[in-house]
Amino acid sequence: MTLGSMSAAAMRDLVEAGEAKPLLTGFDVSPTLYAGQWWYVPSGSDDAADDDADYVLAGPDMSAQLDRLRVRTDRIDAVAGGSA
Amino acid sequence: MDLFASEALLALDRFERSFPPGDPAQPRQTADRLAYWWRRLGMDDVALGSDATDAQRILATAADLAMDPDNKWGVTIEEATSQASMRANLFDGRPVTQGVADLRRDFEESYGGALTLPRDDGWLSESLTRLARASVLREVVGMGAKATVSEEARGAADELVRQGQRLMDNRRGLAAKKAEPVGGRREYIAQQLNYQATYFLYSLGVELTHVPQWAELALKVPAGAYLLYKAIEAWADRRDAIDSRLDPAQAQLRAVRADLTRSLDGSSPLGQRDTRAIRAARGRDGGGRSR
Repeated sequence: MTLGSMSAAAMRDLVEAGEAKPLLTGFDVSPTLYAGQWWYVPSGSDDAADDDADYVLAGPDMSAQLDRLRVRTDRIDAVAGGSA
Repeated sequence: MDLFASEALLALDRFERSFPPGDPAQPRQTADRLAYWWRRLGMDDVALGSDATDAQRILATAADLAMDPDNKWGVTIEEATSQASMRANLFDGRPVTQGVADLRRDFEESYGGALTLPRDDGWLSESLTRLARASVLREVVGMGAKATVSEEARGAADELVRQGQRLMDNRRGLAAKKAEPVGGRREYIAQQLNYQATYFLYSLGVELTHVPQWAELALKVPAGAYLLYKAIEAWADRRDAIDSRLDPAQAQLRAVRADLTRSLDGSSPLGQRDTRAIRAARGRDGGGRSR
């Protein structure tokens, strides 16, 4: 792990430990909120090991968009889960 | 997105048609349920792309009408389609060419009576939830982030696709059978006479050999059994061919009968649409006596 990047395996461990929360449920790779910051895997690399590509820190604009999407996914999950 | 928007529009259509025709509460209640789920899912934030399909545009217009505080009347899909067409002509340049009737027909052709759908707004909330998830995914991908479905979800999706494919194959098989020509009554009788004549000639041939009676029986019984088998097979083929040509109202009646049986087992009452289907089919079957 370097500054501003993290391996997919490390992110998976954080998610499993409940320290990081993916934006999309049911996805192996998804923008993920960890320690108050958004991390994501840039699209574009299309090799077979793509699922293990490193996560990178999202910039301010992208983080703002992801925050907005986070509100929507929370609502969606609430409806899908049957809570009020 | 289009798939889920089409599904949500069909679900809205089903909710709308669950009211008796002319019920004054229908537009307001349809608007209320759509607005309720739209807001709960945070769909106000979803922007339609320039490539939005007809279903997406009609659904978005219906949601706009439903959430308009000045609109006390409510919403119908007919009104939403009309408004969407007007907006498209004024601002978009791409006319709305497909309406809910086309979606309804495609859905019936694809699934027929093979799916049992909830009569309340359950399907509406589920389909809008799927649409909301798809819209989030579209934005994630659009901003350059990667999203990969988990193995488990992919397996479930593959299974759904397989089930859908089997359903479609069955429907295609039925359609192919419908396209085959049905032999007329004359051909059927000629075929039976041919079998009978063959058996008669065979029997005559056996008798002319003057074999002992036990041998004659041994030669005739299998041939008689074969003749009987062929006659039953031909009759069954003809009956199946005629059955597969049921007109849509009759086919719908069959589905409704199955629905009715299930409804009697449970607590859900028959909907207006179902009783209309029964009346339509009875009208066809009974030469209009039941109208």
